[in-house]
Amino acid sequence: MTTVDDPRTGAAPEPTGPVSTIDYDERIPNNVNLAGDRRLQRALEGWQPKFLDWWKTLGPALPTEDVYLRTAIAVGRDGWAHFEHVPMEEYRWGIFLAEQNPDRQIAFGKHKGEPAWQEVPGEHRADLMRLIVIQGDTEPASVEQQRILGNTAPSIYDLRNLFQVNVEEGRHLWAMVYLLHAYFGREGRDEAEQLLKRNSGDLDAPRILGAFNEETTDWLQFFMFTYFTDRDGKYQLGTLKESAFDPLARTCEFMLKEEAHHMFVGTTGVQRVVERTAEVMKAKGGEATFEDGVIPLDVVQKYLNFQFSVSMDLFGSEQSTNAGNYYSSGLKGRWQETRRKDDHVLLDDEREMNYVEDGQIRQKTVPMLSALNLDLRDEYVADCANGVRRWNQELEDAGLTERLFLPHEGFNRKVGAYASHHVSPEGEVIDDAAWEAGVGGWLPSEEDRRAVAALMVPVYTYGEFAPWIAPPKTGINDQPVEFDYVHLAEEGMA
Amino acid sequence: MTVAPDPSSVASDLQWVREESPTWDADKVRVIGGAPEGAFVLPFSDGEQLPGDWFSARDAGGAVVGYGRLDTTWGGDAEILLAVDPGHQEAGVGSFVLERLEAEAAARDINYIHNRIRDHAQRDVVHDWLVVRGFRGPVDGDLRKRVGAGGRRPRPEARPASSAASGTPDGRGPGHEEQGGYVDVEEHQY
Repeated sequence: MTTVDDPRTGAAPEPTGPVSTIDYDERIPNNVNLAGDRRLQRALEGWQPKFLDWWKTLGPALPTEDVYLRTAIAVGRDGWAHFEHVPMEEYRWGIFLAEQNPDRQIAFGKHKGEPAWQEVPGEHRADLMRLIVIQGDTEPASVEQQRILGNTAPSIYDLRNLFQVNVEEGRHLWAMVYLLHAYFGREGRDEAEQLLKRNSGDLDAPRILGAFNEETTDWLQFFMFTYFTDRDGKYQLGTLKESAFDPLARTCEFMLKEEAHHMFVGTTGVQRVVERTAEVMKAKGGEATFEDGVIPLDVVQKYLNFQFSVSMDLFGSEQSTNAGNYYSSGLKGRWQETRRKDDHVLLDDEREMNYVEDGQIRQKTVPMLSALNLDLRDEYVADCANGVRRWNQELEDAGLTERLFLPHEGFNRKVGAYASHHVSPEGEVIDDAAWEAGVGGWLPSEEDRRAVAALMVPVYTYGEFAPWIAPPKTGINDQPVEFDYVHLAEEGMA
Repeated sequence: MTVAPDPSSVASDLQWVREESPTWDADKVRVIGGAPEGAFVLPFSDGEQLPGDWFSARDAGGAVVGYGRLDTTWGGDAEILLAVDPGHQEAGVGSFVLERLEAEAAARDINYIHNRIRDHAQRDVVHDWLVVRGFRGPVDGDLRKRVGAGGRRPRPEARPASSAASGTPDGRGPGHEEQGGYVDVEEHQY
């Protein structure tokens, strides 16, 4: 057991298993022996000031002195975190790859059984770079989307969690930029520059993926984003973790360790909103409204419908030639590839897929290799359902009969088999008139968003929470809920 | 001797047709198979259903003179395929197909389309053709073009973050996500 005197530090067991420590003496903390590659080090040191400019311009807008943040100090199986109050612009963004397995073999596709690649094969260079660029583009996008949320934080605890997510999304950008600089030469450096030039919602140079250009208007949307959209990121990272290109696989494996807390923030954030609304519903013996100071359950459902559907679009079309090629080439596997009980080549496999014909949702059989986007999306949907069950438990515990639910996969879709059709949340194919008549009850209206925004009054007193959200059960790193997680700058408290 | 059709007379009469259930058929063999060797890698057999959104450009008589395809690997980013019947090249068909593909992508809230030119004899010519039409990227890599109006709001005004204060480097955290620790993906609980 580690013993320290600082009362703000909770008990923490020592890590077990192999760990790879991180060199904090370097200007860019890393466990990739950056000091041994001066050329790469210079390239990244050239990129670092541009990143810091971006962070100062488009990172969190609320002025703070410091924030109680975790940073990685080891990347072994247990992944070990160090917690301290850090000025955010001095956060140790760095390059951390999971432990290398020198015997790792490619687990799928036409290269199955061959040693994992430590360098980029020429024939897959463009595709690998595209995968890294797309993943890299999402990381700073969410920071940009959430930059003003700190101004309306429901508590210091939530503010700290927002900033933790933000700095780690920034670190994930670093992770992708490292790969671009280290393995893709001049073109990689050019793409790394572009990752800072595209901006969320920018008319001329938006972020690549649609959901990363939507404005995060309030904290309910932030929690929904962290639950549904970050979860898409988790699943994409899970497929890249299987990649034959070992540096990419190891990078994504460590990013997934960080993502766990981001998922926690979304899951429990929505759960605490539902808990508070359920309390009021129980006390009133009926529906809770904005006048009660909480978010009505039907508005929570509308936010859920919106964020789930736009996140479903992130998986692309159900069928994609590129997705199949990525798999066969060994670039991108399936979720938990090594646990699958099949040949990991899939040339002869098929699956069922929904599509719309004559106003009906029908099924057809398609080659599995063409439908890997759908395979991943199905895994994602099953995971999303777990959180909804957790949220409904709050309603059940309050003795209420109302329930939240995931809308049908075809609801509000702009990409894929449902793109040119209207489908209700219950899964009925409907015409334009029925859609127009129902959409106000299914998706958040401007009025709904304004009413939610009106509740978003900042609460910066330690241990206090806005009335629309329940406090958490525990604090971070064994600290109390009322811990001084964030020290605001004077101008932030004005 | 091949006489190129008059561009103005061909392109102005073209129709854009979405294929509801695209299959690998004789028209595709004729149009796509007529491209330079190596331009496309589409290993489909006769009658096989095709992934992606397929569209054909048809002349006034209904004959297929070009194809376009969107392959949306992610929402927001789609690869295009563009092929013109060898007998109708340099007649504005390619520009017609590209314009329509861009419109189709924009209608799906896709922000960028991309294309990679495979290794074939007319690679530089195709690269120049795409660059003139707004694509950016190397001849041997991804060429990308912004389409549609996915951007929804102006860039936020620059505002510098606060200056620093020192922290206290103390705590080490356990591996549970609810306490902020790092967690292996197989152990995610949320």
